[in-house]
Amino acid sequence: MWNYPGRMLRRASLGRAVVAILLCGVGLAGCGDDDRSSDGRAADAYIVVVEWVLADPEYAPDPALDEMSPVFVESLGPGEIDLDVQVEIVRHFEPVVDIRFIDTRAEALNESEVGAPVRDGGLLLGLGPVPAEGPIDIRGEVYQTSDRVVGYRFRVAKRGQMMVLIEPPQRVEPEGLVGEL
Amino acid sequence: MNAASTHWSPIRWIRHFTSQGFDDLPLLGDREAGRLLPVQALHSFGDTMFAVSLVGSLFFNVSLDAARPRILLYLAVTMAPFLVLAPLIGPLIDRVRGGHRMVLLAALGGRALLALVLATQLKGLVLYPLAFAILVLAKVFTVSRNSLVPVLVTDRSHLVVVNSRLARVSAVAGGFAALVAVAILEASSPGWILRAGAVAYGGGALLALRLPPPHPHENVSPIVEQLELSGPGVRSATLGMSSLRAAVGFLVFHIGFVMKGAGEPAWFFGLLAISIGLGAFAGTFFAPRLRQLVGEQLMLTIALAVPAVMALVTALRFHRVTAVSLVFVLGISASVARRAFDYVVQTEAPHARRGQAYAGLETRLELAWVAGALLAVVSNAPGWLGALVLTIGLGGLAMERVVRQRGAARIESAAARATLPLRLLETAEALAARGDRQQAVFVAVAAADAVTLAGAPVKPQLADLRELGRVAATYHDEHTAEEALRLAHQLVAEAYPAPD
Repeated sequence: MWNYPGRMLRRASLGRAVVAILLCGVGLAGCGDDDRSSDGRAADAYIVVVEWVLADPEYAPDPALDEMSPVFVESLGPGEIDLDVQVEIVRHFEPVVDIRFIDTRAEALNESEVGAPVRDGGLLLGLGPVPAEGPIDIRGEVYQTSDRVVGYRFRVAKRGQMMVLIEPPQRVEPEGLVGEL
Repeated sequence: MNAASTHWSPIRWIRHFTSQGFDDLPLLGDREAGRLLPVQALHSFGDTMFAVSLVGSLFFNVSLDAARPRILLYLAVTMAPFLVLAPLIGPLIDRVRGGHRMVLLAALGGRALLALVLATQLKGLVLYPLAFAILVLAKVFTVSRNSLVPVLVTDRSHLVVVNSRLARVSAVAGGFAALVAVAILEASSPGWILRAGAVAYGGGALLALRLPPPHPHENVSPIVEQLELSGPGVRSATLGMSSLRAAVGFLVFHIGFVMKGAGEPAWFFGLLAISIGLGAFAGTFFAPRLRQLVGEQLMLTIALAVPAVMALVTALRFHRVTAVSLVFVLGISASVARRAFDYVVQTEAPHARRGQAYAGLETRLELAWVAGALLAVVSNAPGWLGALVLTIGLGGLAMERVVRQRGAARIESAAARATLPLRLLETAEALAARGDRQQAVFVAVAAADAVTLAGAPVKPQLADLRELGRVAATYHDEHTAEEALRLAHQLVAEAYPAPD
C-alpha cells in the first residue's frame, strides 16, 4: 500500500536531483574564466586613462571635499565594458576614488538642474573600446556639464610590465557624451 | 486607576506590544516554540546587517547590464539547493534526533562563515556567488523555521500566534539592526557591518542548539496529512501566498534595478528595505482584526487586491513616493497573507504536524520568490511596466478568487438551503419520538416552509399543514399533531425524494 507513494517520491526526487545538477552545471560554467588576458589588457589600458584624467588639474577632485566625488563611467560602445574589466578598475581605484559604471545617463547626471551637471560634484567619463590586440587607441570623453564636454584620443602601450601613455592625449571632438545614451 | 497600572515597565510594554490581537496567550505565545524567538531575532538582525552592507558593495559600482547575466545565473542556481534540500529538511526534522537543531545550525552557521568571507570581498566578483549563497541559506532557514513551528508548538492552536510573534520580533530586531548598521557605517566600513552580522548569525546558531525536541506527532498517516494539506482551502491559500511571495521577489529586484538606473542614492535603498520591514510589522497587527471581520480566504483576496491597486497607482505615476508606498503596501499584504495562510493551515490541516509536510509547502513559497526575482531580472522592464505586471498578476488572481469564492458561497448556500428541510424534519421526528409533539409540529411546519425557501414551488397542502399545526397547538390535539407531522413528512419527501 505504501509502495506507490514511495515510488512516486523516489521518482520525484530523481527528477529534482537531475534539475539541480543541471542548474549547478550551468552555474559552474558561468563561473569559468572568460578571456583573462584580453580583460586584463583592457582593464590596464582603462586604468591608465582614468589615472591621467584624475591627475589633470582641470578634473582632479577637490581636496577640500569631505566626501570623495564619484567618477561615473559610461561605455562609448559598441556594447558594455566587460564585467570583469569593470571590477578590476573599481578595485584598482578603491578606496581612493569611487568608480561607478552606469547603464543610463540619469545615474550620473542631475538632469533637473541647469547644464545637467554630474551628481555629487563628480565626473562622467566616456570610454571607447580597447582592441583585443594590436596598438591601443582609446577614445575618452570627460563630461562636467552639458556645455563642458571634452574629447581625447589616448595612445597606450605596454612597456615592460606596465601599461603607459606613449604620447600626450590629443584633443578630439566629443561624440559619445553629447547625445542620448 | 492605581499607581501600579500607570507605572511603566519594559516587560509590561513588550508583553502588551507583542500580544496585540492575541491576548489569550503568554508573552512568547507558546513556551516551547517561544524559544525560537531569540534565534529568529538574531537571524533577522544578521539579515539587516547583510542588506545594509550591500550599500558598499560592487552592486553600486558596476553597470547592471553587464552584471545582469551573472545575477540571472546565480538566481537560477539559487533554485538548485531547494530542489535537493527540500526533500531532506523535512525528514531531518522528523526522523533524526536533534535534526531540527542541525538544520538551523547549518543555515545560521553557514551564513556566519559566508558573511565573514564576504566582508573582505564586497568589491570583488565573488560577491555574486557569496551573496546568493547567503540568500540560499536564508531561504533554507525560513523553510526550516516555518516547518519547525508546527512541530514545536505545545498546542496546535498556537501556530498562528507564534508565527505572528516571530514576524514581530523579526521586524523589531531588523529595525534595531538598521540603526546599528548605520552607526557602524559612519564609524567604519561596510565590511565591519558584515562582521557584526556574522556574530549575530553565530549567536543564533548557538541558541538554535538549545531548542527543545519536537513534539511526537499523533499517529496520523502521511497520506492523511498530505490530503489535508492538498485540500481546496490550503491549495487556494498556498496559491495566493505563493503569488505574493513571487510579487515580493519581483519587486525587490525590479525596484532595485530601476532605482539604480535612475541614479537614486544609497539611502533610498535603505528606505525601501525599511518600508517592507515596517509593512510586514504593521501587517501582524492588521491580520487578527481583519480575520475577525472577513475570514481567512477573503483576507488573502484583500491581500492580493490592495497591492494590485497600489501597483496601478505606481504604474500610472512611477516615482520615489509611489515606489516606497508600493513596497510598504506589499510588505503589509505579504504579512497579512502569511497570517491568513497560517490560519487556513491550522484549521484545515489539523493533523499535519510533521516537518516533512510543511517543508514542501514552504519550499514552494520560497521558490515562488526566486521565480519572481528571475522574472524581474530577465524582463529588465521600465518601472511603470513592472508595476503594471504586478497589477495584472495580483489583480487577476484577486478577481479570480472573488469569482471562485462567490461561486463556492452560492453552492454552499444552496446546499445549506437544500439540506435544511431534511434536518428540520429529522429534528421534528426526534422531538415527536421524545413525546414533545407540540414543538415537533412547529418544527415540522418550519421544515415544509424551508422547502419553499430552497426554491421549490409553494404547494396548496402547505396552507393545510399550517392550519393543522395551528389547531394542534391551540387544542393540544394529538391526532391533529399526528396528521400535521405526516403531511410535513410527505411535503419534504416529495421535494427531496430518497435515493434508490
